[in-house]
Amino acid sequence: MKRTSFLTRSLGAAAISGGMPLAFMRAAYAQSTPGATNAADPGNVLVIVQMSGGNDGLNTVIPYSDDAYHRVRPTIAVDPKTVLRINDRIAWNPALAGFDELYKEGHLALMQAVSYPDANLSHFEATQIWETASPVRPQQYGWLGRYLDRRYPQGTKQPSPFETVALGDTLPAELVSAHVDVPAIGALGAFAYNTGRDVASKQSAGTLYDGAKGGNSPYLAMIADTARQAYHGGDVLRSKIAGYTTSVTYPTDGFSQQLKLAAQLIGTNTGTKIVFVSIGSFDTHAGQRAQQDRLLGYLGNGLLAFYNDLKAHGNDKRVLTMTFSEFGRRVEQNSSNGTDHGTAMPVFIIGGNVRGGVYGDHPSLTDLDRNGNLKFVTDFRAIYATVIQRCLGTDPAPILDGQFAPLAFV
Amino acid sequence: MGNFRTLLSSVTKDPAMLVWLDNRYNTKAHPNENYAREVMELFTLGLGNYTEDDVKEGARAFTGWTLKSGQAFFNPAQHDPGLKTFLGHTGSFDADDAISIIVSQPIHQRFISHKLLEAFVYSDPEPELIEGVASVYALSGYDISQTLGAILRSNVFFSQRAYRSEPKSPIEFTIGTLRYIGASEIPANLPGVLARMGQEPLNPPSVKGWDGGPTWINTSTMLARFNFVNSLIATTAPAKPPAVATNAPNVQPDALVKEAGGFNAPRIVDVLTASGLQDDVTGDVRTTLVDYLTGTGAQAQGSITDPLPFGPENYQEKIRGVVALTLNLPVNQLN
Repeated sequence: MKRTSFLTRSLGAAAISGGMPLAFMRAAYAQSTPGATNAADPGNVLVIVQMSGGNDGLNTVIPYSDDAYHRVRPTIAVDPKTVLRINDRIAWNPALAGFDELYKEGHLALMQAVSYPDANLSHFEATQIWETASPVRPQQYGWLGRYLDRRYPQGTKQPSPFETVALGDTLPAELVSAHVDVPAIGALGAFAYNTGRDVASKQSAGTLYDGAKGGNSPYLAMIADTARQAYHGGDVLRSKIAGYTTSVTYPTDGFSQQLKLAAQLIGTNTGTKIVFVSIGSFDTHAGQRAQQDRLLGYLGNGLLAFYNDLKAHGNDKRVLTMTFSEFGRRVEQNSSNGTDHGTAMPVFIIGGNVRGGVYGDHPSLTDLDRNGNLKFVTDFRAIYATVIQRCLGTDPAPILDGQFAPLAFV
Repeated sequence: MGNFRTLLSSVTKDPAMLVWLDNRYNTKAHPNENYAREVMELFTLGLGNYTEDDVKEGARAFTGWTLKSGQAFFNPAQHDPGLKTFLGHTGSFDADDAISIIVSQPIHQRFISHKLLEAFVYSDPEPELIEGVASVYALSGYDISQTLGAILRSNVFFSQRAYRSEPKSPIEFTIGTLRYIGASEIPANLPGVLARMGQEPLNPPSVKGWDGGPTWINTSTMLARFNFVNSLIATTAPAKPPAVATNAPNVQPDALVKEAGGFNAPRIVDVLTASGLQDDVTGDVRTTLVDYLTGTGAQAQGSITDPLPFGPENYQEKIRGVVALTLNLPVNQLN
């Protein structure tokens, strides 16, 4: 047993017993960090799930027994008779049966009221703040991009071109780095040099790229290399994951299907260590219930299937999945059965090695900031720091430009 | 292509900039330093060429510029008219005074010259070259067109080192391709295509803008470039070709066949590599392109037109195919 285990286990138990003051959690955990190494399983995989648009935390983790909740949300409050109880104060939205199951099995950590000082309410700027882990002044590269730049300094090569993969058409800013190539893969079938019926043209392109060399420009050799990787990469990836089978049935929505691809990447020898997936839009200014409940269903059921698939292949303990959204939403509902932009929201951490439980008190619905928004409990950078140290196995301080004591969830 | 001081003054008072860098909240009682800092760090001087005091004093000079009904508006009541000491000068400066002081800094003149040389000549230009351009810029009274004219007429612009040395940006690549084929309209899906290439218009990664140069090139962005060309040019690509594909007057197969004097594959490849790539192709590349057209060798296996020889039955598709192959050559990713 590692010397930190007793303390962290006690913390986990305390956390599960329902809400732990952050000050205590930090103070307690700080005792265990000096001398702690950054040793992490080199097989670890980090999965980031972006809930884009700003997810309404109060209808996700519902303070169902709080009168204030029903008062400020006369038409969009979730009926307490339908909720899935966590404890006598909070409960899951009924669409989150998947999370309820993961939570009961002890594989889900619920981080309450996550945000940062002076939260930004613009989608664009708030997203950029989460992407770059830089609330005061957005940086050029994402927090994971900065991690990659440090892991692979200029001139070194990643062992696998699929070590970090964004599942989507465009590269999210989290993964933008100074010099590490991260492929963005929308549909796996579309990750290909595409000439349709003209097979001869595709073959000729292969001949041209395979024979391409450097030249006058210092960049030509790099372009030729990248062209070869772009041309052959999709075929290589498809052949690597072709043998993967699963008995788990994933829901048919696009998000769950991307998680299925993520499980394939993780479960075959692609060398994948970081995967980015997104689901949205949670920007529910009007008619919130139908839209958000549908998306939460995809989220919970998709991530449950993903976890079960990983477990069936013995990968559950080395994979940590973390959700985030650029902000939560306003406490009081608006006049169009929706909610406007707010601040803090819950973050969910899922994995076989995660210490399940509730971390932090549910934010007060009456003690609000001057804009009528929730006061935050946990700084998101403390979560990033924990993930960087415990999952990626490196010192978070230089990546996050500051010290954030790791939290107890893993 | 006008005067940089005028441009900077207009940018300072542009509604989008007043929102983007918060100068609309920059008031006498509560100065907001965001614009003052970024205008010096990112747009005019560079990090390390001003002090924190310059940021504070510059912010005071910019106070009062705000928005009213979406339009730029100067509110004298919110402007701080007091004495400021900014970049070594003291006076009761306003926004335009601050801008005049910024552009008069020799370090700014080198900063702009460096940027122009990187954009139009090559990266890491020599210090003497920067000094030379900076003196033209200063003597012209910050006139961009005179400064750029001096660069474009210089020997370095025509030098071997400057030739096809810098990766094309996604906008340069896509618009250049559309211009080359003579397209009369921009495909409606271009913004999404540009996002996949890493340059969604009006959505830079930060206030600093895009890094550019080699950072444009990675596996996904390269594939996005290739498939943009394939779906634009090749009528056989599975994606429904944009309307523009049938509207490419500069690469009409009939005209090319006529110009080549018949179904003469080597001659057609010569014409295309000359017009599209200034003949910057090796003999091996030329052979592969000719082989594709004539359908000889391994390339013909499985071809839609196999085993027909290059001729009346297949020249439309074949010529579009070879145009796409030419535009997708690595050398065409460079300016």
